[in-house]
Amino acid sequence: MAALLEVENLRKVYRVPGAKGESADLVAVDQLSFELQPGGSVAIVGESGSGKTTTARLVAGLENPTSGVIRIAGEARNPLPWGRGERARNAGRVQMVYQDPFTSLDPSQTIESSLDEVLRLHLGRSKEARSARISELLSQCGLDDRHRNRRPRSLSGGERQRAAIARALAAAPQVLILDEAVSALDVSIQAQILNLLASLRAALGLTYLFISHDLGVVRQVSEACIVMHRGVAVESGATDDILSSPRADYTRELLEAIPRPGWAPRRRATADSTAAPAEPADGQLGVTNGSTVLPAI
Amino acid sequence: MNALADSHPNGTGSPLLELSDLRVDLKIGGQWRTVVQGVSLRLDQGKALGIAGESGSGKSITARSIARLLPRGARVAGEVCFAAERVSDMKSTRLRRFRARELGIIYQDPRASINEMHTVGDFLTEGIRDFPPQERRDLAINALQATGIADAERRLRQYPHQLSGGLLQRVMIAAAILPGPRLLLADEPTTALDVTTQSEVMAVLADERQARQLAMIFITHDLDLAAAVTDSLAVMYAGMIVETGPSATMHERAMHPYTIGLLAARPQPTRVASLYSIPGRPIAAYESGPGCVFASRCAYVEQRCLDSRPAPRQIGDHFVACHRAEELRETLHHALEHA
Repeated sequence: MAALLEVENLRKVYRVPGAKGESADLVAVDQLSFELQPGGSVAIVGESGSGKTTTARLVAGLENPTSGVIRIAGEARNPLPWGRGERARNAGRVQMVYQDPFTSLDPSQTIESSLDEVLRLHLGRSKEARSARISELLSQCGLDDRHRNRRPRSLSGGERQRAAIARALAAAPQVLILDEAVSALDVSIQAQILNLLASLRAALGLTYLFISHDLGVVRQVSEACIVMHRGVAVESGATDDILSSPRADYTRELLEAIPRPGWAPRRRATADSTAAPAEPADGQLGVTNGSTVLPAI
Repeated sequence: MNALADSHPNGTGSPLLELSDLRVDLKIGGQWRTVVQGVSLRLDQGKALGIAGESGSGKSITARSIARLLPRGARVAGEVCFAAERVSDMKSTRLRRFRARELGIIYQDPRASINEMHTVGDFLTEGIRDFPPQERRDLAINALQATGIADAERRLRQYPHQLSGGLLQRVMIAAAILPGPRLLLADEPTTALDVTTQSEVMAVLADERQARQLAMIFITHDLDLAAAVTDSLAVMYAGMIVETGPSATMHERAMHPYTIGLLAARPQPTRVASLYSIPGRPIAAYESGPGCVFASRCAYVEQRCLDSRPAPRQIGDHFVACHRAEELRETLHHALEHA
């Protein structure tokens, strides 16, 4: 079967201001390759600064990679900027659901008009057809017609995320990118949305690229997983194998850090290993110029 | 009701902190709304108490009322006693001293609670400005070193933006323990951090607490984390404590349908399953009816649950606010194991 999404040797380097007016290269993603089959679900896991969100943004077409190829349905993606037609075509291919639906949904728009806007672009059908599709999308996402005229502010966190998923699905994308889509939710709501994502995928044959810092959540959504650390994939394979017998030291460290019954927090060997991007001379994030103070990304 | 008295081996002595029937009303949208109701807690010297709950459960308001740091105009009923002294009776000088020297407070987002224009050194010594400069400096360096920060003297001269999130949260811990308080209020101190950094920061906290015999109130949405780092645990829902018990055995002995629901809803990296999901959404205290606060979401609701609010009852070493706790025990645990 041909892969729906192919990522080949992806690399993204940012120029960031450094000390004394100089600038430094920050390698956010390096040598990343993976494939996503139609109907499959791959997760990218990692902590802050691992490059997981940069990867999501590159696949979504929000930024150009420094080098590497992204192919969707066998076709290599053109570099930005895109014309109108190219933008619309890409929107039908890739959609993204963000962590906080409060910032990704227009607060002044009702859920209905927010969905209708997308449907006009992608379907352009009659008002009746669009309205029927809105009902269908809402019901697929566990909402109903009572939510049509509500605005994001008057919805609960779980309902807002359901509306954001419905809006993404309105574009009938081939790949749905879920960027920490359940991270900001209460535990009881998070379980509802995770179950929704699983049932949507089963019912509609959706394809997911799931971005998360939470290994527990990943297993619920994706059968394959890539563990990223400082811009590179340190381990990839079946999620079950990685979680039950991790090979990379970093994956093991991540798993051991998850609180569970009988768990005790652990200090690392040296305190300053917590030093993240803001720390000089630490080489974190694949910083090539180690002597420069870099801002957190 | 001394809900937690029996969870502590030395629970009979005079407690460091005692909350009795605490109730907090806030003016929200022009109306008085109850956000915390009937909260009673007891914490002994050197012990750690976790308060776990979802948004709107009242966990943070409960913690803030201990320091009298509630929004202006909040109505508070019930009592908060610290070392047998009523916090509500403290006059402004005494209250300032209580907050600065006897309490250490650590918030979720260190960047939101630190002044970016001041150096780490200034921030650390804020509460002890009346001390001689050399002593202030020594105390600050000691506190930084205690939290495992190498090169403490250099860090004193740095600004917050020069430190990573994990390092900055260590600075917050250093600031909280520096004046030698007896109680730490930690409100989601690691929620903004990565899991590996969380583990480190919690380890630092545990070491410091042990070295200084520091009691702690640990507020979190993460039941697993709370159970791992505290002695006893209170689970809050809709402004009420629905269950308390020893942390170490919370997973095996939880009895309230909400506690069990939370445990079953949390995805585990070690197993894959369709998650048990509590229907509906978390509600606030003012949205609860006359009956059990959890009735609207509970799969085991009966008529009596809607009619009368269950008072916390002692069952074994737990206190549970559920009419059906005993009869549901086996059903619930079966459900949890097969979730």
